[in-house]
Amino acid sequence: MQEVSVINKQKFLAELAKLLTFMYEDDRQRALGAYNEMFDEAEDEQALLLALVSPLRQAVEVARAYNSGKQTLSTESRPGENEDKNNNFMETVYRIRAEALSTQPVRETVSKDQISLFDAPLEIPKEYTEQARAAEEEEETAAESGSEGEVPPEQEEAEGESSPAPEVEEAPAEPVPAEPEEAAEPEEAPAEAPAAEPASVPFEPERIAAREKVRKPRVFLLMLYILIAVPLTLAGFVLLLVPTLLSLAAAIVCVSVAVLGILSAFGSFPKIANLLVALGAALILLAAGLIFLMLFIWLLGGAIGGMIHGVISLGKKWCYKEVAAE
Amino acid sequence: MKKAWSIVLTIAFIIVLLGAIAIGVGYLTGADLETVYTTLEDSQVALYINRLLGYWDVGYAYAQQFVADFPNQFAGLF
Repeated sequence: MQEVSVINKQKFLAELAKLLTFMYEDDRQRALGAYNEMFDEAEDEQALLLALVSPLRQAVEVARAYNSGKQTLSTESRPGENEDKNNNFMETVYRIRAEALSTQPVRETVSKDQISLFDAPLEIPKEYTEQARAAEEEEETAAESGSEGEVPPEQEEAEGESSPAPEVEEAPAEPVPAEPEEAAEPEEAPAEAPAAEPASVPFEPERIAAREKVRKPRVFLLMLYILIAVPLTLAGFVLLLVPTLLSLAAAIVCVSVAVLGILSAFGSFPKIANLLVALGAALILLAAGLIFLMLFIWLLGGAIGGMIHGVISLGKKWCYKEVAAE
Repeated sequence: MKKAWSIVLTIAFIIVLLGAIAIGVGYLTGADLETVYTTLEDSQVALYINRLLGYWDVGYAYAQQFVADFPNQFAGLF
């Protein structure tokens, strides 16, 4: 709770700037500029901060819009649409601004003398209602400009009086600009489609052929390799097995003697000084046992396993060749 | 594996440090090494160590014999 009260515009924007580093620098500056304007427009900074919830949430919202724009950018190569797709996140930022300014939460002002919260009637500060109205008016004008002639003026007047109207109004207003784009697309499509399709078709079979390669063994080399590698690997295995088993034996001896020494020391020594010396020696032995145990694991998993893996991978590298599939 | 080594070595170093401190404090407070040695010799620890040394002798002798007879192991095959 303290963090919420301590956070201010500077912190919010700094945090948001860190979170939006995945964007291109220009886009990031535009988004941060929009948020900065949002704070400048807001009369109550804390109320706006409460409405925005957290920089992380805003970053997620922007990222969603930004990524959706990027995905379409990667799949579609028409240069005319790039700017529109890039602007997706700015539309989201403007929508957030409108929502934040219109739905700033009502904070109750409780006097110090007041004993119960229910003593005083709940009053909505004027500034919030004025801001909400201003935001609604802005949205209405934006909707009018977006969908001219579709919404009758009578309906607009009726919606202007009730507060949840902008949400209902946005739904028909948003798809309207999309229709002209769809209508305009067929004009561009015939010009670009013939240029794109012939370029992509010839590459497909080559790509598939490049991918479909089969590993075939060089039989003679493989047999020779097996004949040489197997005895050598066995010899190496035996050579490595000796230190491995020795380290295991040493670990078992050290740990068991140390544990036995610690257990028996407490009952055997009446003098604390002697007890301390025996315990110290046992601890040093225990540390040695631990190192021997680790050495055993390293020899078993790292050295022996690595040697076998290396021999197999070397055999694959030398004795197999990649051939294009028929 | 590197991380595992670093963890194990750190733990071992701490244990050795504790052991060294214990031995140092024991010496400073008047420990008698002969008493410690004779007490451990009479206890189960010495018996256990002697038994382990016996196993070591047996294993070492067996390994020596195996290495000496190694060329003869495959004589019957050819």
